[in-house]
Amino acid sequence: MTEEPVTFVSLAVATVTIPPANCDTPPGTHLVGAGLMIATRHGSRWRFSSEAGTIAAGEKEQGLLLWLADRLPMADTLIGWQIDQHVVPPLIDAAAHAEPTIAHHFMVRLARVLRGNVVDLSVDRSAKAEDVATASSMTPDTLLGNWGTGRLDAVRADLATEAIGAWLHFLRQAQHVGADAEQATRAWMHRRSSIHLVERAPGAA
Amino acid sequence: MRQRQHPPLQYPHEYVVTFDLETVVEKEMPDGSFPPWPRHKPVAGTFLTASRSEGRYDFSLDTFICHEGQEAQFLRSADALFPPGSMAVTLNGRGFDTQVLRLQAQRHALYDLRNIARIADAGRYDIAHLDLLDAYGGRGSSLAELCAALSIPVKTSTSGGDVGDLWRRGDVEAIAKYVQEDVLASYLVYLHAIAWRQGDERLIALPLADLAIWLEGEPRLQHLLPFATCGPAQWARSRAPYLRAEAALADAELRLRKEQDEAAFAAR
Repeated sequence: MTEEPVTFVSLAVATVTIPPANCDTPPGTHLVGAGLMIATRHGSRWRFSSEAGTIAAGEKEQGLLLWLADRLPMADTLIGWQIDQHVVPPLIDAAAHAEPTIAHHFMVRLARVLRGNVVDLSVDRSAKAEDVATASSMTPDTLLGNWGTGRLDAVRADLATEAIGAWLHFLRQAQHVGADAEQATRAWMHRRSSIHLVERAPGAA
Repeated sequence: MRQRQHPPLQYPHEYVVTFDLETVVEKEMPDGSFPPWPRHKPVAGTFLTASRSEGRYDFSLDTFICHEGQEAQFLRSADALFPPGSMAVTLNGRGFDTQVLRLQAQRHALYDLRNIARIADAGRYDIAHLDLLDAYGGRGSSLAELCAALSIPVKTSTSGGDVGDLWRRGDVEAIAKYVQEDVLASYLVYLHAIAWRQGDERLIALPLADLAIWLEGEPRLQHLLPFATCGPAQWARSRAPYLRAEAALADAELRLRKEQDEAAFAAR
């Protein structure tokens, strides 16, 4: 009998608060990016992938919803930081303003991923935000600065770092049960950074 | 007010005020038993207001201390927290807390306190007041027992029997914390009761998740944080995101169907 694969998804989102154009309108919160870390265990083997997507100033949030909908897998466990107050609401809000076809396509996938086990690391009182959100540039002002000046690479890198940070924190909470997975994750991160270093080396193709 | 003979099929949950009084008596009973309720005078009351708007629950927690000579102000403040259309929630309030409020209002000739009148006059199955002892069958179901069974933290700082001593020592802060804990615990019991009554997990998961977030954001309520991280709260916070997404999916389906209908109509 073959063992069914088990999928964990760590999800991070980035929002910016845009000051109102005039005094009569409240400040608007816009979804500008999402980061994913997907870990799948099949028997004793682990497979990892990490991605982040952003939209530039002036682009519609629904573009990001389409990007995310295509990547959200069927998950057994969703991991995040303040999921009910900071992750899900901007996604639902963006869907409410998206074209109906896109909104429906995205909400089907979001509801599917939330139907399983949801682990909000902020509920564990021993966890501190800095343990999870390892990217210091995810603070609201820095994020708005990066996004507003078009440094989307930095925003994507931070989102990916936050999603991986949440996954590693989740594994550390699991203690010895998560030790093998943490080792496998770190080996994967090392291989990935080596590839990136080679790609960035002078003369690299 | 029309007296219902059966529990209502649906309790109002848009505006709920859960409350509890702490009281003292002039003279304790010689045998140590609980003095008859008319002898009790309130010294503190806590009122947790939960109201729903735009899919989220908002909360406020009011605690009033009633010193000698401040009874009228205490009663007026309490009365103002029960607007028509709201539902009061207590544990044993039908036999004690609402009766104490009504008798004290009469004692101080405050006959205009119609909100207290409404909840004190409410029958067992009225929707103006839900007594959790009625919801849980009365005998043997104390707050401590119900909370223990439901993994709700309660009575961590003091106990009801200590209130008289605390009041005489002037330790109103300890009394306030104690009554606040009881009210939060009662509210969590109420959420279990109403969700069960209506067979709808949203009626506990969504308000409890919102309550937990609210408690964590209120520095003055740090002593109540166990209610944000207890077993039921952890379950609610894990479940609420899916329930919100499910509702948003239903909205998206409606919008999609409307768009398709309009496109089909335009193509005719």
